[in-house]
Amino acid sequence: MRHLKFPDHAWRLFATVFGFAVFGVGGVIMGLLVFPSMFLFLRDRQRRQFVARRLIGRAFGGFWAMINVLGVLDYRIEGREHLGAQRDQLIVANHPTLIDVVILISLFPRANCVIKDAVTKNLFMRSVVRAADYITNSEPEELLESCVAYLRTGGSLMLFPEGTRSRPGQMIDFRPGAATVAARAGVDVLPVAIECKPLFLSKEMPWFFVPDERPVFTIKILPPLPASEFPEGDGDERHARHELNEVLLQRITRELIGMEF
Amino acid sequence: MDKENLYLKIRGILVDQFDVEEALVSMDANLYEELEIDSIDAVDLLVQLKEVTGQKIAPETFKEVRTIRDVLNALIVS
Repeated sequence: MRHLKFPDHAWRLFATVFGFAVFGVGGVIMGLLVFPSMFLFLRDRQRRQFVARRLIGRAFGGFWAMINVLGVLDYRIEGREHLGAQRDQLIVANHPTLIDVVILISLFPRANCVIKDAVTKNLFMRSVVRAADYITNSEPEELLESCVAYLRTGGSLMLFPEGTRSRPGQMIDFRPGAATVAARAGVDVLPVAIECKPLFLSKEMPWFFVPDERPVFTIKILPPLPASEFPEGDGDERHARHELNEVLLQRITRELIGMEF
Repeated sequence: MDKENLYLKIRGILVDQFDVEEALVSMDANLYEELEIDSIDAVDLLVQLKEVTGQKIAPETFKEVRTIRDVLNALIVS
């Protein structure tokens, strides 16, 4: 929330372009030098995964702090008290902008993520995804299975049940995959509601569009929903996952409506 | 497994596990709209068919699937 005093539009446009450039150049250096060398120096897969995720978390945290200081955006984080337990839970968030993932990964550096198959094949990103041992969404049935299996090993996982960025001006909707994963793995869910006002880097908006006023991100970490409180759907797994999906959708939607200002 | 048995197998899964009314099931019934199965059911169906037939359906093909006939064609062709 500290930023230099250049609050005008032109400055933010410049800073945004600069941010993208830093992200791109940083990504290339990381992807071509830093992460590939981890395979040489860190032979143990677990250790490499730990170091890689921590580095990604720090880099993303640093990037977020940088664009904040430059005045690209402001943000506030609520519910930090729920950050404590990072193991063994499914983090579920809405996805209004391109960069909410950056702050979320910096808040949950140990969590696993699902990475688009296309990114996995990208020359620069390949080593990052492999070193951090992130899940890739190549085949739907394997994706579901790997998410459940990973949570059962005691790790935490982050999913965006909208499946893509939110459609501006529309109520958000969740696909049933994340609720299914939580129910089948039997882990607690940590819902996170994210809002960005005015909207910035959203779907259907060019990346260089900068609103008149500085965007403010509110990241609200909600109380966890324990697996023991999941709806039972009269004993029917299909009903149960739809009810759980509804519960998660409502919890997050309620916060988004409540955050209007 | 031939087409007829495979069809019966799919119908069995739909009726027993996904609460679909048997009368609604036909070769050209739309899985998502008429039989109201969701994307997770579709994946579960895929997993079970893989166990029965030993065949995988490519994800791109599966995305195109709308009817039981499409499922059968995908399995026969692949």
